[in-house]
Amino acid sequence: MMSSTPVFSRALSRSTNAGAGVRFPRPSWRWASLPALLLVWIAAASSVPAYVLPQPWDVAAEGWRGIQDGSLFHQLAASLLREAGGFGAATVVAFALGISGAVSRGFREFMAPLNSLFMSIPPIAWAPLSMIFFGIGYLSIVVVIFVAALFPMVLALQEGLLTIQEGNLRAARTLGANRFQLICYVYLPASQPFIIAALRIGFSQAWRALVAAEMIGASQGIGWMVAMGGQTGNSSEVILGISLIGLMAWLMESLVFRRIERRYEGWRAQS
Amino acid sequence: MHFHPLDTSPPVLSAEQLGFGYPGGGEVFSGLSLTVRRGEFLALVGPSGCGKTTLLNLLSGFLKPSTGSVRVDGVEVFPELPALGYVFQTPNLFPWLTVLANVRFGLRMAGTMPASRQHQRAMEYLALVGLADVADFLPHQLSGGMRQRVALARALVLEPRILLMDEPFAALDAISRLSMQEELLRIWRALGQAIIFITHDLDEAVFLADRVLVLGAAPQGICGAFDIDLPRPRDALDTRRSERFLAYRAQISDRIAALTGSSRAISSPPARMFAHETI
Repeated sequence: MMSSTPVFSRALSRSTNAGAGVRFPRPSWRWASLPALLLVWIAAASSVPAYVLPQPWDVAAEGWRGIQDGSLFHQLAASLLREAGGFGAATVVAFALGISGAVSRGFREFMAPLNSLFMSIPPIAWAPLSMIFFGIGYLSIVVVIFVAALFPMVLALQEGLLTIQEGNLRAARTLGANRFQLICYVYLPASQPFIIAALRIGFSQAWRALVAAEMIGASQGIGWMVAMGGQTGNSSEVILGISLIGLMAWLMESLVFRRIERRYEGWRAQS
Repeated sequence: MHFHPLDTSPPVLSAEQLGFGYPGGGEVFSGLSLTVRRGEFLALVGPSGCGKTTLLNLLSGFLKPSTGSVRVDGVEVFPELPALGYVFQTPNLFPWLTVLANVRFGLRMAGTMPASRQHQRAMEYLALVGLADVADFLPHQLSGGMRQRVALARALVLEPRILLMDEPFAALDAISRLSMQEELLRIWRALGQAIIFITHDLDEAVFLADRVLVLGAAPQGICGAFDIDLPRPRDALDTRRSERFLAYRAQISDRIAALTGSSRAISSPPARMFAHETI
């Protein structure tokens, strides 16, 4: 988290240099939504027994216990490791397939039915098969995440790369760029905004699939924690797990993707 | 920069018996031949739809002629793209790169120079087109004329022997166009490479070129060649007022009018534009 600070300040100085105009703060009600949710929660929890819906502070206490005995970090680390593996592998393969699809019409046509087939199957449906193939453990869940993230990313990358201006390609070719250089120095930088969108889609798909897969076949992880809480009637643990799932996705979104996005707003201003 | 008709040095570019047709369409060219002398400024004019851009694509090796061949310094251009500079009607700058990085792009692709030398060379050419002070700007922060000058520097930095220009100033307003024409002549005088300049603007062609070729509607090909014997350096206003300039302009305009079957000069609207009024 610390290392992202310079990126952030660079993003800020860039967008101001680019002359995007002064942004005046506009009154916003964003701040009120979470407190409102909390109030509704407290009101609801006051009218039902604590084992059905615990109060926010009961959940916080559960979280504090988890932090103290280290179990929370353990579950979180297990989930993040799977996410990293599945999402990382999907990213590498998605780039290979997406770029191939963008530069080769034949490959794009070949991939189109496969893409729509796999996109129409909810990724969690692969979990039982994956567990039969790879046994219960790291690999079987990573495979589910991989399948979940791959196809939406391939499609988003390919479509993004296809939006490139024909004129830019021609200009690069007349300036002596070969096929490989076209991809590295023209296709990829030209479609940076779409690449970020693709990564964002892939990450959130992977994260959803991860939690679902952990609830079915894992012995650790946040999804497993939620499932266990449900089975043992520990609703504090369930809500703690849900909150963590949301928090992690939100952190990733606001600390990584939004900041990368802001970096490239400067040259996008022209279109 | 003046060429005698008996100049015997080998041409920098020669196209022989070019034929070309798009699949499913008619022939665009057949048996078209032209040569470009070293350091010559050649303008190609013609009515729209005569295949000017197709011809440039053939000369630059982007398209393969169905017959004949194009040679630059004796080497056939297809399928290898030769080291020709190309300036398009739209600047086509890379919007994610700074002005300097845009100019440096070709040098980076070639990779034959150390980075510091590339930087220095790109700055030199940026200074040549008068834009050294906006080196760190992004393309969208520049005016249309400035962008086109960056595109020119980006093509020139590779020091091509021939610069192909496809209606490069057509999208500019009249005032920027005049200053860009003078600017181009100044740069051409400084560097001395050959230029093939496509335009539908007769005035521009006569003002810039050593020689003007008139292209007829496809598949007529080249229907006239005019040596423009006007003194250089040429001045945007004085040259245009000179009688010789006007005479050349009238000659070429008559030739085009004869080709299109219209009694008017090319710069006035062609008769068919008003056809709908009589229907």
